[in-house]
Amino acid sequence: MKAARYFERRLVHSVALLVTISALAFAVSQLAPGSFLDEMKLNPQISAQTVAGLRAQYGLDQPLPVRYFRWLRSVAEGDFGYSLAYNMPVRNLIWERLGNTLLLGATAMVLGWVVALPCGIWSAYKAHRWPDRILVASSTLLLGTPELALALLFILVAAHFGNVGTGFEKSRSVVASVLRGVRIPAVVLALAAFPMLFRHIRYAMVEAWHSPFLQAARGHGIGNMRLLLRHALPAAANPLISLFGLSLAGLVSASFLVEVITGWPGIGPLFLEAIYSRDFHVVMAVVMLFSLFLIIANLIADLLLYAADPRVRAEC
Amino acid sequence: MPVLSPSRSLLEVHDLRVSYGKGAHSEGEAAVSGLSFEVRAGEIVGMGGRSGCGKTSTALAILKLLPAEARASGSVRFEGNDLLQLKERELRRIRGKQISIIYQEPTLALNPVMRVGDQVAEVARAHGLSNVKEEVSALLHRVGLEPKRYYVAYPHELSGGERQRVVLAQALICKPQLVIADEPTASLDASLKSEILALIEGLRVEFGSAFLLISHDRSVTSKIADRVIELSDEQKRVPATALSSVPDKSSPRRTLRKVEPLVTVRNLCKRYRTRGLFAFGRSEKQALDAVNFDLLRGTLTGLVGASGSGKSTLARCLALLEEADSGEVVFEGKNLLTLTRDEARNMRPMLQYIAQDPEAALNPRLSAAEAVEEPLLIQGIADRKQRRKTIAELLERVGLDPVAADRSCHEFSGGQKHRLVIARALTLRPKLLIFDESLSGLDPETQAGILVLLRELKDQLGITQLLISHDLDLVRSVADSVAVMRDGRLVEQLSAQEILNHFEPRRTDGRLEAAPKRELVMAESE
Repeated sequence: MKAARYFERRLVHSVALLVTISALAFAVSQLAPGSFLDEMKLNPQISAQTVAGLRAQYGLDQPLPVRYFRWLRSVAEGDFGYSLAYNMPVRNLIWERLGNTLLLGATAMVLGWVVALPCGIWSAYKAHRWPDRILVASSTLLLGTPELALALLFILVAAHFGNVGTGFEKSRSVVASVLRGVRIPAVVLALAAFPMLFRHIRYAMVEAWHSPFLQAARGHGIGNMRLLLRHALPAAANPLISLFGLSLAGLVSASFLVEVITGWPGIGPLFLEAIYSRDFHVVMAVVMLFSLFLIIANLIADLLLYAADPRVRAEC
Repeated sequence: MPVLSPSRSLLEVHDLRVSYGKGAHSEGEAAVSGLSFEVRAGEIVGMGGRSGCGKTSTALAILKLLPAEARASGSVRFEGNDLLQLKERELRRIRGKQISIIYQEPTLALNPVMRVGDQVAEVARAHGLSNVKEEVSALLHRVGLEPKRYYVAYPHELSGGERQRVVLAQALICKPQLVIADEPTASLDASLKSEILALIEGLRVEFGSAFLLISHDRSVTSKIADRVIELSDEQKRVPATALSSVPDKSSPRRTLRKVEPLVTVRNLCKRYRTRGLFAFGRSEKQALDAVNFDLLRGTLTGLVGASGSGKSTLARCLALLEEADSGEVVFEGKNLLTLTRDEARNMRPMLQYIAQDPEAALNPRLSAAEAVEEPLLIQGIADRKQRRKTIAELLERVGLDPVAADRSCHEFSGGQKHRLVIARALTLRPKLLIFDESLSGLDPETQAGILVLLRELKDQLGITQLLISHDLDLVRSVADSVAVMRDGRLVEQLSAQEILNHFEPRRTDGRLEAAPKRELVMAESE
């Protein structure tokens, strides 16, 4: 019952947030100079009448609020509009690429956490001793390295061994080609996410490790391994679960650029192209989908938090 | 009342010395030195002494649980071993199984995200007990917690007394030969205190465990201990001297009638709202309801009332930490509610607020000197030399040894931290000092020491003070007048003489029904 109310409240917040984002994105993208049709005018083979006709046909001659509400209504019906550049519905355009981006994001996310979690725990256990110092120093180095540079470095190394394999290759089986393609961007993204994950995990664990109840548990003769995993980790989980939601945000924004560089056929290259060509509906659809994606991730984190921490349950 | 005849010696502590300090070779400050005592099988040994005399350090040193910056020397013999020489791995087998420890504060000693039954079971599992679930349930039942309900409860769902019982169960699940209990009753009220003590006594007979019972409260140790060890502290107290430039010779002991108010509060109202998006989770509470009162210059006023009665809100409004909704607070001819930002900034040094928990108000990374220096730096006062001098004077003024100025804040005891916070508040030469329940956590002797200091600050420096407490006895012993709050209203303001009359045993006619007796106020605030 309480859980239902908690969930309901988060849901109302999320919907309000989505509507606000859509209005802002809509308004801001109108501020950008030029439109798809303006580019068309430059083409001497297309007459001014044709362009004006298209304008009217697409409803672009209407005032901004009217266009916004029309757009909002069709999105509510599941229709994201029409891509002027590709001359096809945005939905068809985005669907497959979205799957690719999510595949890449999920792989990178799992990879990042699988590496960062044990490193963070170990580092906290060895705090201020050599293993910890080395890990902290390398994470700082990694934090200062742009993911673009990392991606280029990896491509360079792969090319040197004649094994680039970015994007999809038709000649192989689907699974094999996906695996080959996802390797480099996923590792780059995971490495980019690692420093933030590692530092938060380490900090939360150090704090839990020095908390009075852990001292007490130590006084009861409980072994270190068990203290770390059974006592300290659950106590440290609260900020880490919130971090899980947030880390998605970082991954998604980083993945756009990394996709472009490594040639991964995700949303990133499409988004970039759409922005250049002022393909308005595609831009809006991508912005909205990723907002939705982030909100859902945070919603999941909130629910996990609710499940994991009895104190959060008590507060609701 | 001794129950068992003295038997074989269980624990022998010889010439124990515990020191805290950073350098590997420096001796550091000794918290305990030259301490020797023994505990025999099955007996209850009390250990007393005021706070800061090294009781907790002793308890932790026995099981080598001291923090990394502390060093212990001497010997602690148990079962033919010197515990101080044992390796971590060997100690682990002793901790919790043969010697267990009950930490000072049960609220902090329990993992907030683990069910309490599991926390007891963890100890049993660590030492390879079988039938853990049944054993734990039986023990929970024995310490007075119905297993069905309490096994699956989380610590925040329990009361202080119940948490103490859980911690006791953790310590006893392996039937250890010795239980070290560090202030097991400090956070409990009188009736719970005697219940827990009776429980300890019963368990001693049943389990045959010896207890080392640490408490600053003589009534606790004398009640059930077979013997009591008193630790004395050799703290050097520098005689109180006045702050160099401030003393106002013309302001000794003013009487109530002559002085004009420093602060006048009229119709002060404050309402708290918790906000949610749209209509979710909104609620309101009238924290201050048309409060009127005066703080007379150079007096110490007590403010009492149950928790939630608005004492802290009033104090925070006076200290400019909170904005009241309406009414006025006149201080030095200015209404605090209508100050501009610059005016407020100039006003703040004169109004110093000392928060509930001095421990939390000190940054553990700073040294004592740095903590006291901070306000001087912020206000841009004086050069480095001048600051050092002021700091030394202030530390001396509040009864701390200036030699200790470079020790880190967290190395001070509770009472000393308190003095440190007062020293920090004094740096800016305040006209009003507000103590928000800050004395409540201290033991009676330390409390008395601080109260003497407050009186000196009033008499020698002429600082007006507002002392907030739920403990009427404490306030009555120093205050010139006492104000009583209930449900956001100030219901009474009495002078010292009236208080005395009022608390004549015969005259409990309910005029001040909130608080004729200490217990009543305490009970209300629970």
